Amino acid sequence: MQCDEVQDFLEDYVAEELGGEVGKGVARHLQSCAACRSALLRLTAEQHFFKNHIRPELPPAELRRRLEKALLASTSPFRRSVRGRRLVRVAAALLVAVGLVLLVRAFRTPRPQRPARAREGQMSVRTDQDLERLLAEIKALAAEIDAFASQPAVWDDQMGRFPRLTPELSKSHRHLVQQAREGLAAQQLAVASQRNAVGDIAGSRARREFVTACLFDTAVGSGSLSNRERSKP
Amino acid sequence: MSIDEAEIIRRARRGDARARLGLVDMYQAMVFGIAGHMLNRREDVEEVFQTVFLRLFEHLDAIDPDRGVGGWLRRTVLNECFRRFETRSRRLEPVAYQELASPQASPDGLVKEQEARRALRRAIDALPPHERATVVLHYMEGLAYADVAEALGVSVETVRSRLKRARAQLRKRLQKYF
Repeated sequence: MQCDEVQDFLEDYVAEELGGEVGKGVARHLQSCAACRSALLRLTAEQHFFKNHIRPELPPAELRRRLEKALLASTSPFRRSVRGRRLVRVAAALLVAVGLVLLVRAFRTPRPQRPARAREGQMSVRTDQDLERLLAEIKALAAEIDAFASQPAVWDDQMGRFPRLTPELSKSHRHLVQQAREGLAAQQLAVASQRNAVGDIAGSRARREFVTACLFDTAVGSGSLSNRERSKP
Repeated sequence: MSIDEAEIIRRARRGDARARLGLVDMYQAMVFGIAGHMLNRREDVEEVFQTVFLRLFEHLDAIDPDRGVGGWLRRTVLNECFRRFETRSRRLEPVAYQELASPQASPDGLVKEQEARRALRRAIDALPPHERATVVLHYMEGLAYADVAEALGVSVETVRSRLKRARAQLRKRLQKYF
């Protein structure tokens, strides 16, 4: 190896990053070359200077305190202590357990009211028999509502006010009656029956609208339902 | 990395504030040293220091305790410094902080020492950011070329040539101190 070549490798040699044959060649050359040994000494001093002066530094105490404060703020007091963490875990487990029990009960508990309501709300009017059944139901409900409407209001001394006629028939009944008078319910019913969507009438309000319309004899005056009824034996 | 560090990381993951502060103690000089050598503005250095540690604890679950947090911290502090290089204009402002180990010297020696330190600081500041990072990792952290390459995501040959250029620059400015 010549001096030029060796001096090219010297920095890496000083940094102990020169291995293999090249490293051995440089080492051999250095044994016999005073000029390169001198260069090696200079580079070693340089290396020493860099290592001594480029050093890790401690942050100022104030900065360390700020970081500590931020860290403590980011971990809640509960999470900071082992006991707190256990409590949080137990509470979470309890919540999950209660949630699971409620979920299972919701699925497993028999709900007798639900199917009845579903049947009531989801009348299917696809055949003449369905229509007959529906009209019979309507007549029964109409009679019921008629009875509600004709029931006199009696002052209740004990309650200090006029009692409501029935739980179901109150303000909304008057509103529905008004609607029926205006023919709105009839129109809605006609549209619904044309779409063969009477079966979708669900819930008490829609049902009351339907019945009220029938009660005032407007619903059967137009639309496909009236034709069906006319064809009824 | 010691076995203790893995345990400290596991505890820190569980939200143990003392373990978290323990990790800060272990790596604060490294993080602050890198940021301090890379950036010129004191407020930038302090911001990076705080940001890097807070981010560490946000991402602690993604770090393998057995590998330690040193590598993650090194990469993150460098990335944060590079990001600041890109977004902020540099201002020459000496950052004078407490050294990890102050050299014991006579008053005369101390003056010379401080002068040398300032000269080195100016010389490092004059290096391009990537050469500066390479110098800091190699000399401050004592990392081998391969480890510097891994931390910076470059090849060993790139590290070698960056160091060669950086040494030549530093040599020109600091000849009288060697």
